[in-house]
Amino acid sequence: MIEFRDIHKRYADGTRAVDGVSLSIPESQFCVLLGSSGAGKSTLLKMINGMVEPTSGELLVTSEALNGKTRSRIQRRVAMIHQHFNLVARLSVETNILSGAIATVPAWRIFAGAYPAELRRRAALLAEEMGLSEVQFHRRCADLSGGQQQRVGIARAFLLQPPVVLADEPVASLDPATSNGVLKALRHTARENGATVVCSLHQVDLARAFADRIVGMRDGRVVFDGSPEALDTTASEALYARAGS
Amino acid sequence: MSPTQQPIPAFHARSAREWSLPPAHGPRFFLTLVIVALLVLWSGRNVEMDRMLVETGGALAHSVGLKEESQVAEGAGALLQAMFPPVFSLETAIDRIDDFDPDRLPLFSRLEVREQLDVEINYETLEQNILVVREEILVQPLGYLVLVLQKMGETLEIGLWGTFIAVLLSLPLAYFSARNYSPNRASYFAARGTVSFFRTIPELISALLLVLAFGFGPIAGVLALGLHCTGFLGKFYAEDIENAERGPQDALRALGAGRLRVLRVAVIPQVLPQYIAYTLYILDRNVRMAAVIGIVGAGGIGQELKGRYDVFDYGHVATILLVLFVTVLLLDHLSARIRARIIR
Repeated sequence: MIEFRDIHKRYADGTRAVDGVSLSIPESQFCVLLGSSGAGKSTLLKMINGMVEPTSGELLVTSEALNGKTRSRIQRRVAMIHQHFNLVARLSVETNILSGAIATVPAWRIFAGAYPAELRRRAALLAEEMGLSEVQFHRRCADLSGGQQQRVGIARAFLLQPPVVLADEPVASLDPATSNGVLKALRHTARENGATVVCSLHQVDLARAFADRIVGMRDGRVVFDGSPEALDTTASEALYARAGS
Repeated sequence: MSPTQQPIPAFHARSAREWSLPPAHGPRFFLTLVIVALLVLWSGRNVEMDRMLVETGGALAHSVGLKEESQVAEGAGALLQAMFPPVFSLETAIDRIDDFDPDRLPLFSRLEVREQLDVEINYETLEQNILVVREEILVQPLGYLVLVLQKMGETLEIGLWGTFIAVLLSLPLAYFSARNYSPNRASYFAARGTVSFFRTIPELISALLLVLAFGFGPIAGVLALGLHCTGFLGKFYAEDIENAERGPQDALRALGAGRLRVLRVAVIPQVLPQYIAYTLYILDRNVRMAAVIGIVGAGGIGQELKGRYDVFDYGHVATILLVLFVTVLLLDHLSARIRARIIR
């Protein structure tokens, strides 16, 4: 469960990225944030995992208020899938997936690179679930295609079965078939694992096909909130209309 | 106003045939070029580059028979003549060897009897008598080469330990002097200051001072190299940490990981190839420098080199330089192989 209560974010250069957002996203929901570039989707996502601090307002993640004291604890319950994958290219697929447990595994194991056997097995199973082969599992991420790297990113996010999964434009650089696979995986984790999944997207058709709920943003404000069926052509065109046009 | 300062024209404002295409180099570039040329000329004169060019040219002309006299060519020729052939054998008078046993000679060695003329003075009559003195000499055909190789081994060890100490000190210093990882400004400036301080003191100077503290021998050499190279490695390592790709670091930080964990998982794998390359370069450099700092008594082959140079044993100097050259060549080959294997 994620709850935004009148959240504002103004950056140091004066940009108003988020302007009074109040939103509640329950468990087991695949919520898609739609909007053009600069609408505030990424900022909103990064607030949930504490990477961006709101200027004002209150944010509850897994029913706990996010602040300086709780940030580290909450971050362990939130995983994120990134548009540019953000994997360590020189590390193997296995180690990249295992890095999803970086904050919970004992420090000596992290420094020695000796992850627990059961976690390694889980990483292998997740890789298989994502359609990666054993050979690819032991390869460096740099040797994989964009689609395969994104699957590694998803496996990393799912490793600890977090109650909250965020995805920032996860299919922006992927082909249609891979995009469908990625969004299916996100919907699956919401429905089967009961996770709260929040995903920012540009593609209206993909949002309509996979989301349980669509939140449309424009200029930092929520301008649409409803089911995929409710997002008609007029509403979607309004989301992407250029300012002043 | 230069063309680059003009406001960018609105899109579709005019055809590409009318776009301004500024020249690649403006007057400022040529002015800078002239200033740099003048500075080079002025500074070159200060360090006698003009004389160097004239005398080197003269030596080259002398070597092809275009000039009769050249001090540089003659000096270099005499030195080369004195250095050739390199001396590999070791000759020691047996009366200078403690507990010499003629029945147990070292491997491949032999005894030679040499006659030398000596002058004896009768202090009562002050007459000089010329005597023929027979001296038994132990000749070890490759004895000096073996001694130089042993000294080279010691030099290699000094270089290796100097590099090891530099790596050990540099890693924590790099963490604190990386702007994005240092816990606060005080630790950042303290670490940066320490690294710069180590870099500023040349190892020859610190070796001189450390010889005073630790006495002659390899300790001074190891510490001098270690401290000086900490100044380099600390800076290089820190800059690589700062320039490492941010995406993976942000991704792991967002999972609640602390700085050290993020550094271990997202930064070290990224910077490791560069770290290995720097460290191998420093090792290569330290082995060469270990030979130099030996001159001030900090152990290794440099001490032997200085001793032989001072008594004009240029044949021995040639052997030392030959061994040094071959060692550096081998080390270069070895580090290239290590780089190729580890850095992919």
